[in-house]
Amino acid sequence: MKKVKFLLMLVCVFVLAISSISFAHFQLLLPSDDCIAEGESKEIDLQLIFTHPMEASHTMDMEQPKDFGVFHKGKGKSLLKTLEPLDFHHGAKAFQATYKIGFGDYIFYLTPAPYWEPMEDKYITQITKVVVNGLGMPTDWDVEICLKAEIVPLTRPYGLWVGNVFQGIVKMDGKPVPYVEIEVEYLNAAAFSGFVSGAVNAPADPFVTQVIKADGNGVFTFGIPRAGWWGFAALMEGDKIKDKDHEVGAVMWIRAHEMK
Amino acid sequence: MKRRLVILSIVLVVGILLTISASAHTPLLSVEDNEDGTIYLEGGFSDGSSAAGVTILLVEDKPYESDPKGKDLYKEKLVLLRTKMDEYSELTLDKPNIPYLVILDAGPGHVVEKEGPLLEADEKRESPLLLVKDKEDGKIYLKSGFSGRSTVGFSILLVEDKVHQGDKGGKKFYQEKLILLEEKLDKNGGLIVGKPDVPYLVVLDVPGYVTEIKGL
Repeated sequence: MKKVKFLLMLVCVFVLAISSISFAHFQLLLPSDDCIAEGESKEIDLQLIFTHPMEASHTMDMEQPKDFGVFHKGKGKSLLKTLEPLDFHHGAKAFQATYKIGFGDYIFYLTPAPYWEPMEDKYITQITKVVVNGLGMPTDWDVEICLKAEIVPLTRPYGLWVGNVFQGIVKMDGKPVPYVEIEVEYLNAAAFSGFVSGAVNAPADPFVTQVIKADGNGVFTFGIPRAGWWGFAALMEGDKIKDKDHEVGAVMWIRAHEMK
Repeated sequence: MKRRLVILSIVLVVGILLTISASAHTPLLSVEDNEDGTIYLEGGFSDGSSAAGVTILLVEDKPYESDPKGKDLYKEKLVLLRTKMDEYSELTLDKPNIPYLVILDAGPGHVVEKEGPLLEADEKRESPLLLVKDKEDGKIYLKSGFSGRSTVGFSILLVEDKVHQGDKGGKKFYQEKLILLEEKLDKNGGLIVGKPDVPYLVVLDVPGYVTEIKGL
């Protein structure tokens, strides 16, 4: 009987382990708003969190990021010194910052420290960006800011309605990545907050992470089905770290609004 | 003749295209309070195009009730400053010492008006300095500026030092005194002009601050 119980436990642990690796890790770079309108506060809060956004499950500890900054009107500016620690969702190590935006597009970008994922026996670095617009003036949203791995949007990545499509080009070292796989997840914010209702429930595992592929030019397209923040992660192979595999992701976040 | 027609046609087509592209987009204006007595303006159009060279006005935020003759008015309000966006579609301007509007005027139907941030008590500075120097060659040298700031682009008036009594037709006046000359200060906040042969006043007209001194 004891042997059966032990075997059952082993099976449970194995199933849990498989489940946890099947859900996508996503680096969040989440601003408090995507479009700042006339009369609204121009000071935005930014949260840097490494988690599973749709599942609202285990959130990973982040180390001090390698780079964090903002790009506006053709110029980049490091914001590393503005980072402050943030304890997120049951005490996971994350970061936060505030920044006062002005007129035009502000591309916030983040290169986190590589994260060691023992379950997958590899390092993960998800290079992430998000665009915030001030007062409706488009200035930089389609600019390639020369990150190691980058999604360059073909659709303006703010002012989006539910039902719009989002298109972008996945680039690695400045070159398009043909047929690369892109994981897409919804930020299930209500699930994180722990409320009993409001969260999105996936009827089966394939609904948690949407999977699309780029075409031969590295261009991908996604139709946005629901209001909120959506993350896109194109996963590629990077240079090994300490003889271990290194997955490099190009991540971008966009927000869709309900057409009321 | 044919060449003239071709050139005229090209000019017309370019003109029409420019009109179309300008009218298809909404003008945008950002007015930031630098909280140091100045405002920072950025402008553009909703298609991302620049507003470099577009007219910017600072106007008094109430109808002008005195004699409008010779005054620069915008919708019956007194224009305190008329300038243009710089090549980067930006401007830093001194705040007038009175309630005012900031206007980006890109042509009919393409105007943005915003209330300007008011000059706070702790931002008020001394009146601008004005220096007049006789160059002894029939000319005078005028130099102006706030302490540490320039007054580039603002107007200097030389006015007759008495109330004008004669015919006023076709003449410009400053407080009923005949304006002999009106010029803008150069990029160094300076100006060299001919010395009037009648007693005169030098008037520096910076919105919110008017400085008058007797001419040499």
